[in-house]
Amino acid sequence: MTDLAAPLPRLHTAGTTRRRRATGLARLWRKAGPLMRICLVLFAIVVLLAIFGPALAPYDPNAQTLLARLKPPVGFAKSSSAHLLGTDQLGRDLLSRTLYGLQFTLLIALIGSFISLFLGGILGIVAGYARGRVGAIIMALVDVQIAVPFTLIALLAIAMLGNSLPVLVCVIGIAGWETYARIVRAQVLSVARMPFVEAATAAGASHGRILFKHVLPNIASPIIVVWTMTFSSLILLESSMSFLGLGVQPPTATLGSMVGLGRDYLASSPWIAIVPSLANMFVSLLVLLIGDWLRDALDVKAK
Amino acid sequence: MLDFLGRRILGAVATLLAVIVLVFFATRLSGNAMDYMLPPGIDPATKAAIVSQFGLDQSLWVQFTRFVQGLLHGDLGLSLYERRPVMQIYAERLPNTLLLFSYALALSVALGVPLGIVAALQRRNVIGSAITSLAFVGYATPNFVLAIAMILIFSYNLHWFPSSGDATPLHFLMPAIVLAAPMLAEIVRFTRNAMLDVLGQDYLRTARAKGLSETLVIGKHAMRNAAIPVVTVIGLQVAGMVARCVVVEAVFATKGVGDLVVMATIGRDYPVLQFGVILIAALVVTTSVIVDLIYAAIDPRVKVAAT
Repeated sequence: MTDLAAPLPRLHTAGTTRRRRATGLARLWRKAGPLMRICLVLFAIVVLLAIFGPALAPYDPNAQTLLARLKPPVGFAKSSSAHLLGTDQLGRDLLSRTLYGLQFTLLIALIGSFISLFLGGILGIVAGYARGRVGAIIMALVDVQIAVPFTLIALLAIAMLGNSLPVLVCVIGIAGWETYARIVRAQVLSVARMPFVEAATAAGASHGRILFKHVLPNIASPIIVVWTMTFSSLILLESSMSFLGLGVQPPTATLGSMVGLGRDYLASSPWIAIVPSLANMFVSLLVLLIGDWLRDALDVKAK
Repeated sequence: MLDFLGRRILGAVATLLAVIVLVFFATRLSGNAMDYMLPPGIDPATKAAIVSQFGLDQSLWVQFTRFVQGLLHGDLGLSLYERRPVMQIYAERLPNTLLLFSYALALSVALGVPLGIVAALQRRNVIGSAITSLAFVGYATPNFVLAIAMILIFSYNLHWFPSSGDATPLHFLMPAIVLAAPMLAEIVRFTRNAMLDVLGQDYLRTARAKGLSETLVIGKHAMRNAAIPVVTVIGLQVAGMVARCVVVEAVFATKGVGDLVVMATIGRDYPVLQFGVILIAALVVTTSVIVDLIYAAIDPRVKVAAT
């Protein structure tokens, strides 16, 4: 699905990179249609909410007010105007928990995605640039990772190492590396054959210089696209794990763990699960839409 | 063809072997599983007896050769919790999961392919865009969110379906729908795109020019060519479905392999867990071989390229 085989994007050589990057965002904005602009603005709002969530939250997310338990969101019968989105079974404010949960969910997915980008990127570069036996071993590992659905590797790791936050972040970091490794390797292989790389080699440039100045700028677009596309699946992985009770431990709120806890009150107080569910769905829909659009806008073709 | 098949199977076996080695050593990395299982302050002699009962006092290499021998003989040891053969537990659980998979697969193919074709043929009007947008939402909705929405609507409000368990075929309907949703969405998207690619081709114009009916043009000439990417996405989605069944079975309390694996993770029952991972890897690898074969069957170019 994220098997990206990009035709080489517009090639640019060292030197022109900086100017391009400065105008990159503005150019993307100009390319976006009205609907996509709304998505982008909404996504910016989500990110701002996640960053400033703790400052905006009206209550401590873990403060229990037993007198205000199970209050529905404002607008429903027996709601309390003090709790906009209602409270859960322990009287914790759902708005505050959702804001904190959003921050935590996005943060875990963000750190995880950088770990997998770093890991997969390096292995992909090695596999593509060095080739030979090392490359073959790396690609065999990629095959193994594809053969085993990642949720199972995650379960295995959690069973072995216990479920703590660092374990969860590392697991999520390992989740996406093989996609990066494959795409980076394929890109490095095709860029390395380009005449300008040959020219740089002939001019006596070091491997590092060729890699960073000539190869990497040319494979940036597909990497950005894979990053957006895997980001939503990392959010999903974290939420699923937390939902099952194998991720972040209570009382810490993430969107997934909130849905998981609300599950037990579905019949009597469904909003406990519905509020974080909607937030979760909204975020993953936005990220996917933007990823899809970015793939077209940056001219990376997905197979 | 035989050569292609042989090489494909060899690759699959190699991958599976790598998975077995990886799983075995991964489960032993964290040290002695018995340290978590037994109560603290247990009598050392009793502990030693239990440890040797499970063969955990042997060297890693001996444990590994025993493990592989066991796998080959279908003897996978005892569950640390249930004290029953792992094989027996999986034999009880597997039918439910396979049933769930077949429902979900049938549902998503039976609905996804026609919807994708309609979305491609009607791409310029409301029907087409409605199908495409729905497919996107279906893909983006986390499966536990969909599961909870369905339980709320169809179990608690409408009382149509039971919310959990696996007693009757009716119990499987909601989990199957949740399991199928992302796959259905992907099949719709891929069928639509594949059809759009094919619709512009010259051979369709030729088929129309020689007077074939529109049904025959779409049903025979367009479908066969559009089927190739669709088969790919079905193959890819089977792996995703296996991963999702873990959550879906846990939500709907379906006594299947996914639920078992989650329980084994929580309880650190590693004989159960390690076989679960190997079993599921075997399932996914087999699927991908089958997909490649179907591939070769519908696209003659694959065979030519392989030889």
